[in-house]
Amino acid sequence: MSNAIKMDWLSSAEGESLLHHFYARSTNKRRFYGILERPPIPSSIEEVSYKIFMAGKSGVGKTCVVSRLSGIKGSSSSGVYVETNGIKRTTIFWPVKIWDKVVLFKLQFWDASENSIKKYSHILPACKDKVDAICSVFSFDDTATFNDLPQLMNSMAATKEKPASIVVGTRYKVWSTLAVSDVQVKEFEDKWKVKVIRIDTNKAVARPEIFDCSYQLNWICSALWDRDQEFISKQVVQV
Amino acid sequence: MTAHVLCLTSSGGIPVFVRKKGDGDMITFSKMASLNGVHMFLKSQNIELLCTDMPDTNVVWKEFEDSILLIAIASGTTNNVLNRFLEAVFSAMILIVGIDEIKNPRNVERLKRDLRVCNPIIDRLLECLDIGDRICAKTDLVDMTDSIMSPENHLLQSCLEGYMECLDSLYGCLLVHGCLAVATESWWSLDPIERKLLIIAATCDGTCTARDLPVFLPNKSPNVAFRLVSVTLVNHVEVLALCGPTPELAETERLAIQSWRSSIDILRAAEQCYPRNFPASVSLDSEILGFLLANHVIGKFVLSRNSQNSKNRVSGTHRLDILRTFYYQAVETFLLSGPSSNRDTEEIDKSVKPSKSKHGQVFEGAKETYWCSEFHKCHALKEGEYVFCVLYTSIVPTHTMRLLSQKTLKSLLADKQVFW
Ligand SMILES: Nc1nc2c(ncn2[C@@H]2O[C@H](COP(=O)(O)OP(=O)(O)OP(=O)(O)O)[C@@H](O)[C@H]2O)c(=O)[nH]1
Ligand SMILES: [Mg+2]
Repeated sequence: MSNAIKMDWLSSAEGESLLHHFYARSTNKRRFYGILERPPIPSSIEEVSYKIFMAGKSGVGKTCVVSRLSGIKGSSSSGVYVETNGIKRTTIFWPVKIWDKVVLFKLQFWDASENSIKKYSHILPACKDKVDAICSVFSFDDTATFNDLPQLMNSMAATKEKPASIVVGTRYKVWSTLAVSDVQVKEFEDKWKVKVIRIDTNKAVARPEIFDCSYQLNWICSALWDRDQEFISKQVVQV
Repeated sequence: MTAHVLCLTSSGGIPVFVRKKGDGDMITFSKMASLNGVHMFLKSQNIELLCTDMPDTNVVWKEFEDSILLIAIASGTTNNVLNRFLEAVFSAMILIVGIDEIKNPRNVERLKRDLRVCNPIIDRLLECLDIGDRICAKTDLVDMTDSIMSPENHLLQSCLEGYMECLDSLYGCLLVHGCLAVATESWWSLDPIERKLLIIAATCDGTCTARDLPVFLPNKSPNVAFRLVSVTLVNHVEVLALCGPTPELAETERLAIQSWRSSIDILRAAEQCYPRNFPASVSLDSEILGFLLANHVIGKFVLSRNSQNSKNRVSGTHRLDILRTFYYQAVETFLLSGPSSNRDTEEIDKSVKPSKSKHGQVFEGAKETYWCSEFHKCHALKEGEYVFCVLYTSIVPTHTMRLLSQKTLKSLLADKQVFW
């Protein structure tokens, strides 16, 4: 992993000065943008767009992760689980400082449940078409979902786009014994050369919610950035 | 007060799902078994059990396709509404899994599982029932499209038509905060419940940028799934379209940008029209607290609160709830009970039987009705396809309500740009 991305940049003066563009003034919640809109930040800031497919067993928390990263606190409104029907696509804008430049990441998350994929044949091809990253999701509560990761990653990696690999573990709690241990995670990270991003989508937050997912979003952007660098360097070698 | 809906298999009486709204307890298994048992027993005697009325609660049974029994138990509502509610619940089940899986389930456990996706839709249908609870997010009616009269609907209509042409689809509409602003002609040819369910399905699981939902159409296509594609254009404004296998989601988004890019200001203006829901060019008299304008032929309505009237202390949604109660209880009973409407409870058929007058004309229900209570008054006026229900402050003299309603209805319908 390169350390091109400054992980705590959002708390810097420059980061904070951009932050209000991502909030709705009236509600003080994260602003949501339709496809015709983008945050009103200076147009000099470059925008890069990525497609990320959320993969993982039913109920591991794919939908919750996306909605938490988009600024919705405490999972689905009432906390009751509803299987995702069809494809749900969510765009999240995220500013990142790379070396000395601010870049706006437009992250397009494609979310579908395994059951929908099984039932309707058009869903998986649509999700995998021109995909930039596969985000494999497991639950820290459920060892089986962790053990399934290699198979999941292999089955998804076989696309011609050579997508980046992102791994997210949900229901993570510090200071408690989890079904999937830190040692296992470390081993996995070393073997697969990926960072496991930990999240608890239900965690109560005291400070502005954006600070509690900036770490996760920065890691996602970092994985995408690294893949692009690798891609560019390969092209150079070929020439 | 509470409303429940139960779903059981007809043959075995196996519970498929139970949903409820309100503060009452979840229905017990033994009660569920008795409600099913009494229906089954009468069926074996060749008697169809339709409903029973208790002092404060009504129970309605309805069997579908000889395979599913739905039971609604609710207080404060009419059997007529409960019957339509059950129709809508069954249609929601078809919408998600298709009629084949309901008629010939390979196994009930799997059907149960697949129908869990319906829960949020059924919960929204429960919200349409009027059970006298004051806290509800939105006042909605069970089989009519919630809509908005935005000031530049005529422009939105032509954008929508352009977009639908690109998609090569006939069925599409534009939603502002979940209220329909404009729709294609074919969209209105869909069954009212289909329209209602498509909008609920596209809006019931939170915001997202775009969606691709497989849906069966309960009436039009119960066996073959369509794709309901929705794209959020600007925050709170989304466009829905029914598509076949193509174009795929990414392509619909590209076409949406192409078709709507130049209309972003009109879309934002439409968004600003909510929650007023009618153009700022029309002003309401201060005696008016809110109104419900329905087109009972097409099946759509606009609900609005008079924001100028701040004197009234009754909280917003509760106030609009009164209009819904008035509509379900008075308007549907007295104004819409003519032969043209298919309201099928015998209760109504008996009380207001369409009778030929001596000139040979068919009685089509009353033209006006009103309620007076200590705190407010309601007045309803029927004019052609429209029913206009107005909530007044209690100080308005009863005989002037008619004049105010007529005047306001006229000015609402006069604006041709509204395109309603
Ligand atoms: N406490 C806690 N609960 C979580 C977390 N992530 C998910 N959940 C719960 O797990 C349930 C399932 O989450 P979803 O996000 O709907 O699962 P999904 O992966 O999208 O499931 P499918 O759509 O069926 O594929 C929900 O009820 C969440 O409340 C987490 O990080 N912490
Ligand atoms: Mg999901």
